[in-house]
Amino acid sequence: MTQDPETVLGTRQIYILPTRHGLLFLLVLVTLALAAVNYNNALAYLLTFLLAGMAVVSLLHAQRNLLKLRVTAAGGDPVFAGEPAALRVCLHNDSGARYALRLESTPATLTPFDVPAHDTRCVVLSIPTLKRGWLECPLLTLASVYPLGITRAWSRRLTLPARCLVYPKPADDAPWQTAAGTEGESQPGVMQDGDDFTGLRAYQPGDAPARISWKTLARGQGLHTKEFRAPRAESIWLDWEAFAPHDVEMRLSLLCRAALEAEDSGLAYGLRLPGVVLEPDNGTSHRHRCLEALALHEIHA
Amino acid sequence: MKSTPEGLKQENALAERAAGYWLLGAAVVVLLPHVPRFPVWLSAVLAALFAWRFFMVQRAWPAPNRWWRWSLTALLVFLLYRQYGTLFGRDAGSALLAAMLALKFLELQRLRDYVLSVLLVYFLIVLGFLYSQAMWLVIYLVAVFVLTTATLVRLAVPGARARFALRLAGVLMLQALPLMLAMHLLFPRLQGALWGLPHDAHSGLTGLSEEMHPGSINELSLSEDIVFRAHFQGAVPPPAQRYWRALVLWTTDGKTWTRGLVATDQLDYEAQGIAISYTLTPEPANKPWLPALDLPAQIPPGTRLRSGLVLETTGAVRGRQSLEMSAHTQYRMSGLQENERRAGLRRPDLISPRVQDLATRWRRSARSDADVVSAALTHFRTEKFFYTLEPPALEDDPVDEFLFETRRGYCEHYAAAFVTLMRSAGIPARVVTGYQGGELNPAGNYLIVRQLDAHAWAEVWLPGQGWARVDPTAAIAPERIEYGTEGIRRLLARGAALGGMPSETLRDLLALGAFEHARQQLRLSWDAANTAWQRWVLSYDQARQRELLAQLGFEDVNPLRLLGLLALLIALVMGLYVMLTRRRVPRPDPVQRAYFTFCRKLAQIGLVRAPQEGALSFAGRGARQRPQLAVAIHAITHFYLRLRYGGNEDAAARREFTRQVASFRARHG
Repeated sequence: MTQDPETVLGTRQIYILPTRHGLLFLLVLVTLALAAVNYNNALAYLLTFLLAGMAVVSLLHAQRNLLKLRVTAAGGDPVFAGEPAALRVCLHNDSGARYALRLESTPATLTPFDVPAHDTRCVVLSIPTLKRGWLECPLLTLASVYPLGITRAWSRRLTLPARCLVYPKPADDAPWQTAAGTEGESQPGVMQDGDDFTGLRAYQPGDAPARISWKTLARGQGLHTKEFRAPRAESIWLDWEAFAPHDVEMRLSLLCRAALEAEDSGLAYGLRLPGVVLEPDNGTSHRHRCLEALALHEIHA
Repeated sequence: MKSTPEGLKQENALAERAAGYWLLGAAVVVLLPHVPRFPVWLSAVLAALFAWRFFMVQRAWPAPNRWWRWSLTALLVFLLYRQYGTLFGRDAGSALLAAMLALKFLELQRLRDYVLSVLLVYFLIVLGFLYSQAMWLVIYLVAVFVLTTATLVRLAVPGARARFALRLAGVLMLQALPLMLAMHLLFPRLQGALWGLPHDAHSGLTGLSEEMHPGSINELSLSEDIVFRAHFQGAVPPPAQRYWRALVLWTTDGKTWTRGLVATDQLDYEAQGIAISYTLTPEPANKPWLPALDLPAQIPPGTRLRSGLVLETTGAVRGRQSLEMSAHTQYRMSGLQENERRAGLRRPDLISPRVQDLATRWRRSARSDADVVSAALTHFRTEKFFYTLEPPALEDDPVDEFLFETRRGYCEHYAAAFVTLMRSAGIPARVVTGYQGGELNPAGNYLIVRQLDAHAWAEVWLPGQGWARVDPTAAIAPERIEYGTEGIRRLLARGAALGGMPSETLRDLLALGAFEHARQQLRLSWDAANTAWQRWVLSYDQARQRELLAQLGFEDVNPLRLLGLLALLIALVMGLYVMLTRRRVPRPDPVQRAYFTFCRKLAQIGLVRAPQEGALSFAGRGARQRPQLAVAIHAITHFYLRLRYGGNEDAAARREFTRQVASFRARHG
């Protein structure tokens, strides 16, 4: 993906066409012009010209209403397949106020909203998910019928580089104890992560980033890793091969359920997938790593 | 801001409700000027329908169902057809549109219904102009126009406040004004209507009649209706020269004077001095004659010259057109045509011996025709003749009764009697009717001539001089010429004796009170504004368009070129607007730019910074998701924050930061 994190609406991205109301407006203009010519009435002419002039000027207002808006999007937290994913689309306005903007995507059209001057407004798109993997931001259209409702200015097909990770749908029930190859007691002396902070030591390549002490780094004292100790009991392995009779998606679902339950029960669990081995561990980031590995199994980012 | 279709509907409903009151207001105010022209039953029906709508919104009254609406529509259309005999044209059309608008109010549900109603209101505004183009109406309807446009804005921008909508409507209108002006000046104008002009376009207009009989001009002496305005390029001619000839009357039966000769004529006279140029702007009239300053020096396009050097328009005077005219007040003619001589000498069958004797007596004692003329004028001055606007009625032989019995009359009596006497004395003579005088409006250097300025005078053929104007009224009441009918009326009301009063006494008698004076000034200023409006807007037509373009150097114009020119001008104005209203977005500083580059690099590997995500939390997330980049991400982020918020960093630090971002490799770092 070589996509800018933000899309700036330039003149080339903005299209304007009359709406159906605009066509009606045009019809009225023609009729008024005919009346003006027939009655040779100067004021009827003038008013027709004024209306026509306003239609022309409104094109400019319509274009300016979208011009130089910055659009960014960000994927929300990962969700399990079947849950709606949240994509946050934000409109950043670096100049005067914008009105009646409408984000249109295939599933839904959102209510029009304004973006005040030098401000940002965000819209959360709720998108239903069906399968695991990356959910890309759908093609979006930003449109507005500002100022008179007779024109529609829109910016077509905004491809925003936001995506949301979709974990496999957890199986209803996974016999995870069978999938787990228990390795018995943890070897004494092997350091394991826990909740008790014991101190700082010099950073070594491979240390988990979550353990790096950023405070000391910010103070300019160099990189240090925070140490924790926990008397961990046992560790288990969640193994791809253990669910051999099922098909790929079912296996991933079962492993997903197993990982969630292992996490909840506080065990250190490892994951073995074809080509991926995650050493036993426990905690939010480990859970994420496991579920991400499951979600992206045989999917290339 | 997550929304559901219900939420959308609700918000739209709110916007429409807010706009609905405005729409109702706009509809009511646009119909107000139309109401006096509508039949009473229609006004009542409209009021009832609007009231229903109001209660539908305010008190949640039920909306009539479709069958009710259709039946009501059919009934109204039928009634309107019975009333007007048609559904098209100005009168029936505006009544029909008003009814449609009121009916539409009963089914305002979808956005389309609202927009349609707004467009109907625009239509009714224009229809209002087909009735009157007075300035107060224009101001009123422009206000309605702004309100209507603001309603359209409120429909397009849900939740728009009243002030916002009005301001935007105003801005759009002001910005459209130059475009309107360009279209006004350059839009190809057609001469003539597309289809027949309705017969009711100009009705009920009075004016100078083509025949003169005692009392015919007196009917006009009370009418303040404006006949025409004349703008002079140079000095305005003095009152004594303000003779506007409209008709020459040759034939009489002793009571009534008619035209007789109406053949086409030629401008065949010897002009003395330079011509006076002026622009004549007649009010719409249903008579073809065109009053022209004595004597016309040219025949403007669209007019022709009839016998006696009077002008006539070739078509009806439709709408308002201005005519470029010129006149020679000093002239000499030679050669009397035979038919003119015969017509100018023909005495009425009805002529009393007393009248003939008087003429014969003058003839005998005179050495020349000019002597006869002055004898007649002396007679009017020295005998007890009076000028009055309320003369006694004349019965069988008006000339005889006037000359020898009543001796009270005004211009037409004196002109008729004088011409009859001249013809009896063997001098070719004719009656000329038209207007004399006019009110000078110093605010615009133009004369306003009203129906009450209608006048009749005489012309006699004098050898070596040609047709010479003789105004017997001037002999008996010079004040009529100097101060006009209005002045005469005031003098007579104060019991002044006309003729031979010292001018100071006259001025005192004519002096206006402070209030009257202020009123006159106000009236003149208003008329000046109105007239400028009429000259530059209302009477702008094909001829004026050609003239303007010729002045700008475009000699050969056709509609296609005009449209091309118009498109060019509109493009220019729009280009100007684009330049003036450019969106100015501040450029990010170098540090911020470098940081954005860094974010872009991360985005390439799927780490996209959420818009609201702070630099620190983004770094934390990035480090979690890409542990191998964690150190670099955090280092750059903290450097960035120190540069951006730490303050006293020098250019070298900034360069170092840019360098670090440049050497940052996300892909295989």
